[in-house]
Amino acid sequence: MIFDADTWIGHWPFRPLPYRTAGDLLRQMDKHGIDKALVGSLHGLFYQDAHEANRELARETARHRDRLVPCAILNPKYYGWQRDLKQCREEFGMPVLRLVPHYHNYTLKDPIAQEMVAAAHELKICVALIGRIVDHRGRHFLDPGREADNAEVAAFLGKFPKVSFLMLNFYDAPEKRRWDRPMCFFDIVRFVGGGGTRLPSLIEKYGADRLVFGSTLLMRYAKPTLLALELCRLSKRDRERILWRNLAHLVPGEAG
Amino acid sequence: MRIDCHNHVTTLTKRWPPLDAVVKSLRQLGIEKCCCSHPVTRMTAEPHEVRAANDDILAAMRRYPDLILGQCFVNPAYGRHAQDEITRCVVDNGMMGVKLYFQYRIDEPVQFPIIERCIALGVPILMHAAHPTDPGDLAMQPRVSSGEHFVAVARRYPEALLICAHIGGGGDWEWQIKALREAPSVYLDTSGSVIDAGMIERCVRDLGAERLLFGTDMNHERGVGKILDAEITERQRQMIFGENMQKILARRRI
Repeated sequence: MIFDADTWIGHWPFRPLPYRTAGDLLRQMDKHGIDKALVGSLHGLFYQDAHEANRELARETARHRDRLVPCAILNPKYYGWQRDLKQCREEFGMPVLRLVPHYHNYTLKDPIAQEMVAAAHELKICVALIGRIVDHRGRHFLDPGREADNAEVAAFLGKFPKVSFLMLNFYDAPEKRRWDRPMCFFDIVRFVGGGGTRLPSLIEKYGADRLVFGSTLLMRYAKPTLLALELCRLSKRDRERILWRNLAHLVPGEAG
Repeated sequence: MRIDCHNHVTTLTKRWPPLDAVVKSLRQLGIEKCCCSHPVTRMTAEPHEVRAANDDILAAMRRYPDLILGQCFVNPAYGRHAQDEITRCVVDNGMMGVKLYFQYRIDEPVQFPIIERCIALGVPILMHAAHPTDPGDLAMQPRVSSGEHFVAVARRYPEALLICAHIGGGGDWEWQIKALREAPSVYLDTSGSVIDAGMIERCVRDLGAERLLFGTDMNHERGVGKILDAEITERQRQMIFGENMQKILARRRI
């Protein structure tokens, strides 16, 4: 069983992606043996009203709910987000909210971001923070995305000592002790490298309890991350934890 | 056959992963030969630093002679020393080629004697390259070689075995591919941490599989994984993974 924490469908405005639809994602998942995935709307990052992308995503994934778990994206600075968030949870069945501050022109220091996390927590929605969408070295000049500021993220997390977060596409953790509270679950996509030594030493040092599998399909190739995990020679228990158990435990409604 | 055309190892510094662990990972991934250098990654690279870096690679070659093929790093600013290092490392100690970093662009005249020497020896030059769009990244490497610089130098030296480094090394990879269409003698290495979907397919479509060389640049799983994942033919995969580099190695005249 593989449960992917980090996939996207849709258009990326700065580069044509070879695959874009829910059907494409399912085919890529089949190719790599991925059973289930959390999925977000890529072009929805750029919508004036991000909630319209949630509607689209709910429609596009409706026939594949056994495999595709849609994630909400909302802008806490946009009118009516509270009502939209409730609709995402109750009507669209979205158990995860992905925050993308750079794309919505706010920072995690803004009180409104904290307000949104508190509201999501109330609704039993898991909040995902995103380290980055693209590598800044090749970023298009109109792309507002930046690498997340780790100090800012750590300060933000500190305000929610009882909340668990899903940390997607982050690089600078969890080696840093300051990330230990509250519980953060990191996808492994960027912990691959270092001459083949980074992921094994990370797991050896910190265990498999806080890691989840993430591929960043359909933005990137999935094989490299799967290959890295394959080479780690983990115990069956740890392997299952990273591949699906940790994520299933974290995402509301997926544990059973 | 998998030949990694772009990697780095060390027997000295603790900033890089330990050699034995790196070798274990390479072997796990079926990499049978690995071209390795130890470039000085600052704008200045003094002769004693260059020599020490090359000594480091020679030590790694001695430790794993079946696996590691050395690349001789030189700083063209010190022309005489650079030529002496090529003699010492490539001619006398069997390194497979030369590695140039971002101290100068590939099309700057200071590089010409190095390129001419490599043509005479029949060995390749792996040139650090990128087209950074991020001002901060560009400021860190103001003389980085972009695709258009390879076009200029390939026109001057069409017989040179030039390898444009890491299409996935960060920066605008679409730019690099478009530019290299105008430099048909230049090879492109597939290494780097960037694993954007469709990248390898675009390289094959626009440049042809015969111009692509598999590499990792210390990103072993990403390097192998993106070639395995790409929707290309098995024949193209074989060429990229090793056949193209085997042909380059066979052109050595020493």
